Amino acid sequence: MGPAAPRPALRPGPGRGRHTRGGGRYVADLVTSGTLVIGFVRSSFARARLGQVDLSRVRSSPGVVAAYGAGDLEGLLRPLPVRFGPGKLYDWHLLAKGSVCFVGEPIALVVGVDRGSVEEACELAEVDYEPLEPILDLDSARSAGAGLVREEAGSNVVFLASKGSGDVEAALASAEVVVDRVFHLARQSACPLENRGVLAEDESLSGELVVCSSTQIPHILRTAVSTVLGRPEGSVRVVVPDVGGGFGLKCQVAAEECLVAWAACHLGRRVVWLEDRWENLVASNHAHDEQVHLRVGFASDGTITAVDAEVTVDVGAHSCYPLSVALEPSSTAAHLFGSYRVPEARVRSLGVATNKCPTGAYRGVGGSVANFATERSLDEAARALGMSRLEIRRRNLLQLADMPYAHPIGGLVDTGDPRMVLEELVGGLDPEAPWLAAIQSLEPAPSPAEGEALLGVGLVVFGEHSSPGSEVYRSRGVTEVPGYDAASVELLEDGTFAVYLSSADAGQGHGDVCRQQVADVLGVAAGDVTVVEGDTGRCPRGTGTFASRFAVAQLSAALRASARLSSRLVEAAAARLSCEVDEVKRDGEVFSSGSGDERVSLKELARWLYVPDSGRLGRSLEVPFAESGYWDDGPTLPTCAMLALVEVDPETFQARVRRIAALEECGRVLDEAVVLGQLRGGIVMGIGDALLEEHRYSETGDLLTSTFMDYLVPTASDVPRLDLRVLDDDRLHSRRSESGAKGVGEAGTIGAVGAVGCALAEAVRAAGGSLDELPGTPLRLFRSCASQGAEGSGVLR
Amino acid sequence: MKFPPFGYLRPTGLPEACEMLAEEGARPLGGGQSLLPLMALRLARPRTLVDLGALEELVGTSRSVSAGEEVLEIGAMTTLSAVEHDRTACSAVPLLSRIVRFIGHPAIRHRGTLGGSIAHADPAAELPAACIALDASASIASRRGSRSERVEALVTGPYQTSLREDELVTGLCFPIRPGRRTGVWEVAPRPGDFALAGAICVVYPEHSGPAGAAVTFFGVQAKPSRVTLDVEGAAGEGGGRYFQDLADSLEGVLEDGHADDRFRRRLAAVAARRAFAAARGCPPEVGA
Amino acid sequence: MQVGFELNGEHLDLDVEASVSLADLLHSRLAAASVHLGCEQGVCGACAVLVDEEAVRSCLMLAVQADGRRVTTAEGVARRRGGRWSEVEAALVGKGAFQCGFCTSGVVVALEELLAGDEPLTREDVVEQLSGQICRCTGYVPILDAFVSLLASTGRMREEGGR
Ligand SMILES: Cc1cc2nc3c(=O)[nH]c(=O)nc-3n(C[C@H](O)[C@H](O)[C@H](O)COP(=O)(O)OP(=O)(O)OC[C@H]3O[C@@H](n4cnc5c(N)ncnc54)[C@H](O)[C@@H]3O)c2cc1C
Repeated sequence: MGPAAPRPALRPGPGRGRHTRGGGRYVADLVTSGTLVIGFVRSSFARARLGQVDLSRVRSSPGVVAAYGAGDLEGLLRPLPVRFGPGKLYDWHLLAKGSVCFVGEPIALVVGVDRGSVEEACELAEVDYEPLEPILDLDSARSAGAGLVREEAGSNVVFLASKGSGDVEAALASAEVVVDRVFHLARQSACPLENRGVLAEDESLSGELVVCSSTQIPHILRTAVSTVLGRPEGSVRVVVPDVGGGFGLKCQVAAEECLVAWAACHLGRRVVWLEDRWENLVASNHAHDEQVHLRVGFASDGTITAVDAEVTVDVGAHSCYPLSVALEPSSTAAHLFGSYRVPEARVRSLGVATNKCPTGAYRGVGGSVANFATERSLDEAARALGMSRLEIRRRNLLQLADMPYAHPIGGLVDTGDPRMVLEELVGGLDPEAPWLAAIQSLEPAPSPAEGEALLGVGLVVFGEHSSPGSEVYRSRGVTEVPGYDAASVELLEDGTFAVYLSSADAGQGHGDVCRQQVADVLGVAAGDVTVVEGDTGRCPRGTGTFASRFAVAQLSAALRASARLSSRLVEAAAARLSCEVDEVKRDGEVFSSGSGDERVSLKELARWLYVPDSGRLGRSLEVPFAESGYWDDGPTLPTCAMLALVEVDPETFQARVRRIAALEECGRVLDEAVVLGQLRGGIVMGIGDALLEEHRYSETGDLLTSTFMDYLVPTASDVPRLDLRVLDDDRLHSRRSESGAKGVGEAGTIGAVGAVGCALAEAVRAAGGSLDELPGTPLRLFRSCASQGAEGSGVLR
Repeated sequence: MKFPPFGYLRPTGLPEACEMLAEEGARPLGGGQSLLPLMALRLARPRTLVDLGALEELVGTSRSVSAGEEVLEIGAMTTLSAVEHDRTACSAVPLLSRIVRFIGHPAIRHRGTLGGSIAHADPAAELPAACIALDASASIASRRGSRSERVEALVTGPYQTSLREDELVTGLCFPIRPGRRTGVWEVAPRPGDFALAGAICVVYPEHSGPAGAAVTFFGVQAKPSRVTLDVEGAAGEGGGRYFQDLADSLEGVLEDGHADDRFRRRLAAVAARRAFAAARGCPPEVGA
Repeated sequence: MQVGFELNGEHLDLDVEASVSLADLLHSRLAAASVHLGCEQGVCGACAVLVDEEAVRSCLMLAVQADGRRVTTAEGVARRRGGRWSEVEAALVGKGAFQCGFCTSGVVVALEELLAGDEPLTREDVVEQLSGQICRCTGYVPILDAFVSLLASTGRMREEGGR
């Protein structure tokens, strides 16, 4: 078979219109006839010792080419070292070996001619399980005698970090008011509309293993694949075709990705695995599932005196690669009270293993619950102190004058003005809107008349830790994430430029933004710049696309490379024009010498460099005429203020978000349409997190939400009116990033979880309830009222 | 999530279909909007699917007189969309087109059928409940002959009916009752989702047919149930209490992640009260 | 089994196994790349196609059931209307109403069904139709706005309330 090489992810400029009629090229579109299809036998037990795995009936099933269990891979495929805490690595056997620890864990890999035959064959596997009592929640995981989810860890508390400053207990003891509450966010998952998918082929000609994957982290995936296969990195090429959304799910390396790569080599065939939605919901990665216990002290004037926090995350059955179980606990902790002045703080964060699907990233990560917890505590304190919700925030928000601010929880805040962001949001509101009164009032909202909707307004101000650099990951003990991003910019023989990026697009529109930015630095038309990303064969190594890295880390690297190349162009022009570098004048695409008689166009210069008249070109003129750039100065901290107005049916407790207003300050705005697009999409996702999305397990550890009928994501009917504005103020541009941008990928989600969550809490308060758990499903809202004995009052008469 | 292999037959006439269904392991395929998802999850593995899609005699609506009563007959293979937009159905039994709009999305209703919905007997489905509320009966055929059964008796439990393996529903028959008023209310997580609790209320004119009013719950118990209302109690001052007591008296209320026993009773009470109010506020059916 | 149907204006006769879904036939065998599988349970709408004039989930239809029908995928929507771009496509592109693009072709089909009718529509009607199409990227707003302005420009918009 001589299949066409997988299409590299070369993105044509304005051509996104191709999507309206199937012009995208996702992994599923790369399947050619003759491609073998892979499926997996997956554990039907949450916790069991694994006896014999007999695949003989699988192998003889029609259409099956091969089937492998862990035993068959012995000596052929190495485990992937993944980590719990700093320094604690363990071997992740990509097919379960000896035991299974969650429903859906891959036990055997089956290769066949089509997915139907493979699924049929998978049913025939005979697996001996010796079931054990599954550990399914934090309490049982921590109780004595529960046993261990992962023997390697030696404890079910698989991650533990703490950070503290000053004497928090003393500060709390002398506080006027202490808010002491526990906040929860359910287990959720990212659910990009395109499930995961991998296609791999060991090219016989080049000897290169090509892995086309729907991933956000091509370079990290390459490292993982080369590690498990024991192949030199240079012989593995990861190519990212169109990606139908990632939202964090695809910044974990999946066991399946490595196994598919292995099967391609082992069989010498082009193979593909297209995850289905059941697999995606049951066995990809979940996220969140955590509680935040806050004790926050306030002085009588409303200023925060101390924060004591304990974050506990149910991380599921495995650590994830590369971000590790450190991800959610660390990120949650880091986002607490991020936009506020905090004199004293102590934070502990824990990751606890259970026999549930492993967790990883989902847009917003820990920022979402941190925002809800932070802002809910402020609301409670305002009430206790007889202060308006607006006022308590005004008294505590950081301002430009505080910068740089050494935040005792989140670390250094280099620039920003959260107070100004809040004032801009509030100042721009329609003065008639009910929310203004709600946040300014000293009194809680009055109970509505019988039968009328319960209304609630939520107000939040928060920062998003975007583009964390190597320092952040190393401080969590994570060495699998580089932390930097890199770019190279090359002048080609025809006088146009190619930019190679370490990132991978999942629909954010990187190409368009980058092309324009780079063209501006190089002084050429955007049409002369081609952007290439998502291909480890051509692009420099870097971290990838998550944590709002693109406009910050990736663009900074590209801009640095472009600036370097731009000055080298001048050097080349000087050589060509036989003048000194500082005599070269540039007018558009034409360079001239000081005297102005000698001129050379960019195209001529390029041609001269690549097809020299003689071999006398100097070192600085050598080809490829390219420069690279690198950026590792994160994180940056964009700021957002958001207001949500919700209504709750006082009888059925169904909630609806009516309006959201937000003001986003994300440094320099490179492309307002992209910024607004990220905000809108993020907000609606956050509405899902706050109202609908929730994974549930049965007592035996089976996922009850394994289809889109049961795991509910927002639809068009959940969309409120959105009033979004972007604040671009020179004084607030990032000093760290070259672009001045601070990142905008997750603010919408983080903000909506907090703002809608706080609004729901206000709404049920009017019915005597109190809400500290999200999502605010009707059942949860009902219980929040019923548990306060308030069910009868003002509710069903 | 691919369908397991099966044999596929596509009869063009009812007798032929009945013959095919008499074979062991054969199962009717209506619109496939419930059966195919189950097969994709490998929760159903029929040996043979007998696709009823070519049975034109099972499609369409008509009015006739049966046992001295005017009725609306709807073929089992009539799609939910067709019912939604059908003039005859809308005028004869206006509740049908209103309630169908609660089912899934237009694309589901374009394929899903009336017969499939009844035979599937999802406890949260709207149509079985509507049939029970409206005293509908199902026409049933098999190689052994044909019979008719009230939908109330046909639906025996969650996803369970009294249909034999070889039987198929050929149509539904709704009595037309001028003067009747109907209302429906349901609570679903998102529009188009299966109901967490729903209620259909039928209010009869004072001097005709069965007296008073009745409410039929769906999504509340293992199967839809009809309860007679005391109109005075329901309409009176303590109406809320009345409906809560009514809901509290229901047996075997479902519990799941969306609603526990207590909350589901609460939702049932609200749905019943709102359906009752909607019925009272709606113009009486003219049946023309 | 033999099936004969019209795909985007061309008549096809094929031999296909009964257990193959229409979605798989279209995507895997007939290179209709617009037919995306997002859930295979009829919920997400990414696999929407028109069968005759109705938008259906091609994952919940057997390929053999297309026999004798007229199937239009997003690839064929413009051709059906005799243009290079359909109005719906132009409206979505004009408003940048997509990011990752995976839901887009299904959205085109669903909206095309709505546009092909002739009764006036409210924004609620559009929301109802669109609520059968899951999009994780855009927050739906630009899609709704694009289609509503298209309707307005053709005089098909009606104010909310009562139908
Ligand atoms: C996304 C989605 C959302 C949905 N939401 C709802 C909802 O909110 N409310 C709701 O009620 N439904 C909902 N449904 C289900 C939908 O309404 C189904 O179409 C319907 O319930 C079954 O009809 P069908 O014709 O598709 O039946 P099929 O799927 O074809 O069959 C269902 C069962 O009935 C049997 N059967 C079919 N026809 C006959 C017959 N004539 N005689 C005897 N047995 C027969 C089949 O053998 C099978 O056991 C939803 C479906 C989807 C995919």
